[in-house]
Amino acid sequence: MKVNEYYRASSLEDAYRKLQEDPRNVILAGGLWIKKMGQDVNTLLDLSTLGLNQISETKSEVIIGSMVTQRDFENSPIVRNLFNDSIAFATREVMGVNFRNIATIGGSIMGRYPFSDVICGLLPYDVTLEFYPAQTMSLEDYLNYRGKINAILVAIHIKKGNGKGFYKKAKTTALDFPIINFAIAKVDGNYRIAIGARPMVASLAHKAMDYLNKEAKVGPEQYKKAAEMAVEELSFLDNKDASAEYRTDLTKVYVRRGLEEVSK
Amino acid sequence: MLVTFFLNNTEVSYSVNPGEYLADTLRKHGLKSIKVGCNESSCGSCTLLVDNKPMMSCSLLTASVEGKHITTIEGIQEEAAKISRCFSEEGADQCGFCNVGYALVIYSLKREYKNPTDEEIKDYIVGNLCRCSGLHSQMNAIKAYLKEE
Amino acid sequence: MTVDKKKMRVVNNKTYSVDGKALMQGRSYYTDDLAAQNSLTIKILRSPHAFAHIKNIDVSKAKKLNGVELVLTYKDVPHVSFSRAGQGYPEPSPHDKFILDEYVRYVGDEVAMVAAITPEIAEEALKLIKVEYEVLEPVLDFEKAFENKSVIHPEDGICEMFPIGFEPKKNVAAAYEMEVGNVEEELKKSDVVVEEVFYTQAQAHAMLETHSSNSRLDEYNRLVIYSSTQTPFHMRRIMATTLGIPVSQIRVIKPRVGGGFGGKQAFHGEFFCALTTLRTGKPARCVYTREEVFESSYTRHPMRITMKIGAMKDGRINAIDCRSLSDTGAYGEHSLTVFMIVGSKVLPLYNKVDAVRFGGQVVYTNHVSAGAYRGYGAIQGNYALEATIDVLAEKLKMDPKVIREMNSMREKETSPIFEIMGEGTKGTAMIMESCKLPYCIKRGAELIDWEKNYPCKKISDTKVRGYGMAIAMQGSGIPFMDMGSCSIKLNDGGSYMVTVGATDIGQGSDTVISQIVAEELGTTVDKVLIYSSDTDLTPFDCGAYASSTTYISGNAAWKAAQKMRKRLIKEAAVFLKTKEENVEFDGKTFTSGDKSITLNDMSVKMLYNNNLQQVQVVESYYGHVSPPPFMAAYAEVEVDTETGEYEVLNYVTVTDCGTTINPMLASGQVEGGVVQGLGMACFEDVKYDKKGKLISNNFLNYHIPTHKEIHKLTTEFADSYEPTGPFGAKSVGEIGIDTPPAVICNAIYNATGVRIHRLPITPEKILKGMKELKK
Repeated sequence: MKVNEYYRASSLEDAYRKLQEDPRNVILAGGLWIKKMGQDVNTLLDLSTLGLNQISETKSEVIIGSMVTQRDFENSPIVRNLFNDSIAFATREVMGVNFRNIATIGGSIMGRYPFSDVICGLLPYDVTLEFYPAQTMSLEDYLNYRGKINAILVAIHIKKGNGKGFYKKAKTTALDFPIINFAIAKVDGNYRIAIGARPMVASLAHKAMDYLNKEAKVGPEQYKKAAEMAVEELSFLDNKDASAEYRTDLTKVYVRRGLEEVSK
Repeated sequence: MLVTFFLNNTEVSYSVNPGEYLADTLRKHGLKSIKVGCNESSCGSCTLLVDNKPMMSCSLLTASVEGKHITTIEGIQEEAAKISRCFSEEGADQCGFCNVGYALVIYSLKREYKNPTDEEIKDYIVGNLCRCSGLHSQMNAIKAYLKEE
Repeated sequence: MTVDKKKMRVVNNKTYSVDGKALMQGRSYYTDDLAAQNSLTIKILRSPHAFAHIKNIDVSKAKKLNGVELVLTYKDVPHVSFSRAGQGYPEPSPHDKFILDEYVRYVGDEVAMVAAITPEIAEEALKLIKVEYEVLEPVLDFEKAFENKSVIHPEDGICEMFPIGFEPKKNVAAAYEMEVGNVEEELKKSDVVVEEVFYTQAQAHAMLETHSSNSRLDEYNRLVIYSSTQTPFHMRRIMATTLGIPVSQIRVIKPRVGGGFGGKQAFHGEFFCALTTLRTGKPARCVYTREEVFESSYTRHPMRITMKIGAMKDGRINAIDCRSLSDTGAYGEHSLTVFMIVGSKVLPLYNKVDAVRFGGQVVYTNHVSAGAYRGYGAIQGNYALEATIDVLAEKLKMDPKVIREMNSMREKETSPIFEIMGEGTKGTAMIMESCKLPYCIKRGAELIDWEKNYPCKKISDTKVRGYGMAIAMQGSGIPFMDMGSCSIKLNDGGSYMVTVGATDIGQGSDTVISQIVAEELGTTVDKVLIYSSDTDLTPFDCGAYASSTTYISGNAAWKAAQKMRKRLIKEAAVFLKTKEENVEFDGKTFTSGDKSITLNDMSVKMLYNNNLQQVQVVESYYGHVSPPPFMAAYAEVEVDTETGEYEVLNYVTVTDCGTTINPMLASGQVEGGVVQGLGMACFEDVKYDKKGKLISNNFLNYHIPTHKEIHKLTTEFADSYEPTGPFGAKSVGEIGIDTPPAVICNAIYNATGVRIHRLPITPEKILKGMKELKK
């Protein structure tokens, strides 16, 4: 990777201006993936001095700065307070601590990586992305958005609520990307089901969710049906890590188990 | 560009390329204790501490550590000796290539956790690969080190 | 000579590794740490095609780039065929490789080399080399390689050193056949015959230090190579022959090595360093990237093994028929030797058969070249044999442990295979002077509670635990071929300088040899200074392979120490003015009646005052037999019956490796081997794309075991003494890796009823099998 300039932005405005100057100018989050991509870069924009590494909360939401590292995120008492400490399940499964001390939450989200634990793990919650210049977008909308967002991710807003979550990453070893991953939550009585690495980027299983949320009585039968609905509505493909068949087999099992778990 | 940081408490300034990584910078300047096993943040051999947090130096841009405190194995020689003793007691040391990275991670684990569970220990060190030892003996060695006063 | 273990103070006692502390503290003694300042950096242009002929190659732009000092293509290097295998002479591997060639035979094969003043410039120069390829049809399926219309080695100038069945025009690197008794007849007589086919994958060594080398000219203009190698002396010989320079002009130094496992028995980069330094006069370095290690070094030989076993109703095995096909990839390194071990270090386990047959071919394909890898041949053969034994046991409705106890090798027994099969040549007959296999089987069963647990137990509606076992054997060096030597010098102050050719690659041979010397000389390890593997300064050793170091080099060190003891007593007799037989030596003081002199005093006096001389001895050793270590292994696996996912909860091994010179390091060897074997058994998967490019070329796509997969290892040793070994020791470096594929296969079968015939044993394959069973 060749880099012409390393630029420490003095403000979001400054960073945004610089970003517009050249299509080969890139925002540096943790920098882990930039290295893997190996693309030449004109200017690397460092946002580390802009105070985006803070975690704060209001009555209704938790606000995660985009430059918060995955490690700081999972260790934050504010984050651990959310949904019985189930929101950081996913980040704890990413590589080792020496990786998560570098990787940022913002970098994980902006990459829209199909194998992302962070994206799948956050998707079942009410998560809104805050950009500069002023713009907000739900995490789900962002994942569905086609094209490049010409803005800088500033913060991730997670709406507070009552409930708990479940996260399962099917994998070969602990340092593997997921073969498929599941994040399931029950927040304020509502079921939410996210499935990623199918091998595409995580999606919500809306039909399965709607079914559960409309049913008067929800139990083992409904969990099983919801799992089958999730298999129907989402697409699953073969790749080098697993076949579509195995992915659907796991979906039937883990969606049911996840629903059982969050309903306890 | 010139980058200034603290290397084991000594202020150093190095002229680097903007796209240069810390492992390369330090090795280039003679600090050969940094071991690069994969050069893509998958093996943990190149781990060092940045403001006391373990990070993989192969994937950390040198420019990004401006003003920060870097600790390498040279900065924790006595602790390294203690960790080595625990490894030796368990027969956990073999080729030694991953050991420097391990020592820094284990040292950091001990500072961060009082009485970690096995799961917490594994979660902390799982980013460090070792192909020689069989890993089980390393776990025992780490637990012994954590118990030391 | 048998030594009472109870009297040993250093050997078989807890001893820290001699280099552990310094390495943990970051002392920089690995190969690339020692590269000369301002070394030119070497980068290699690699083939994007699985099989192609270079029609044109234009390096003019690369040469013009500022900072580029040397560019080499096949036109610029000696056209002398050799083998990278790093073996003794003459090699049992075909000479089918050139430093650079006009053919490229796998994605990652070498096309050209650049040496430049910085890594960045070297990379840039690679991009400026223009190559025009004639793309040829590759052979990517080893079962279709034999007599394929694509001939991978059509070139002239390649050869075998002695008959190994080399038929390159048929894509055959080597072939072998043997038979004892009449297998067909015995199978006909059998009450029960079972036959199973197994496939093993091209496991990667994944040592943490990548292949590294560097070179310089010394003050006499001799070529000095630093290399992370397992075979420095072979490297010197092969380099001299191939480059056409005298052995006397080359010095190879092996610094600390960050793991080898057989992968560093070979040459990777050393020729390029040598050529660069010889042609520019400048120091040079070559460090493989992780991708290069995966794509362009070595793998384990993938194999198909068909195992047929005939037995009588009472469980007596009377015939074994094993046929195998091995994929050596683009080059034939270790093709025959690995292949033969599938038979020679596996089939003698069941030595009571009336007939045994083994044979097949080793074929070329356009895959990454296969070569030496810890437990080579044995792990493949063990998987096939030991899984088939379980199939047989089930058919006979017998406990697989009982059938093994009935049929396996015992002390003072032998197998005709030992005499017939060696390493590429005829073997050596031998009696098992030490074989505690029956104890290993019994003790392992106790540790896993086999009687209670076998075959499985239900934990919950979705969890079941399965239990599996296997037995294994290895060898200890190659008889009449592997030689090690050791020199010991007395220093003033009473310490000893030990120099050995033996190659410490992290397994701890420097420590083990120091212990052997310290034990014999009645001293402590801190008084033994060891320096190893430098072709100028240390005596010869064949290198670290074939489980030879403790047994072969250890025996050399023991002989040298015995000689030193005698010599010291002789010199002490001079000082004490008495006869040698009157002198007693306790390691510190020589005593004769009421007269005494300390070793310390004597050593100083001999350098400065009287009886002036340097005391130094040297001894060599080669094996007359290759006593096998034995092992019984058991595992407890917990399977999720809805997903096929499983965990190996406990892996129990009981090993007979004779005396454990260093019990902790021996345990480390077994456990390290077990975990690598578990990697191969459970998840190390090798994936190529359709064009033959390796996809599993980094640690994100090739998964080696981490702390989270390894739960409990239970490692014990049998009380055993090998009369031909140093202080009773046999080898222990490879045996640990042999059992996991069979053990896990058997345990998964016992838990689920699904037998996986193709490694690795993945959850997906298990679930698929369970679904088929339900149908």
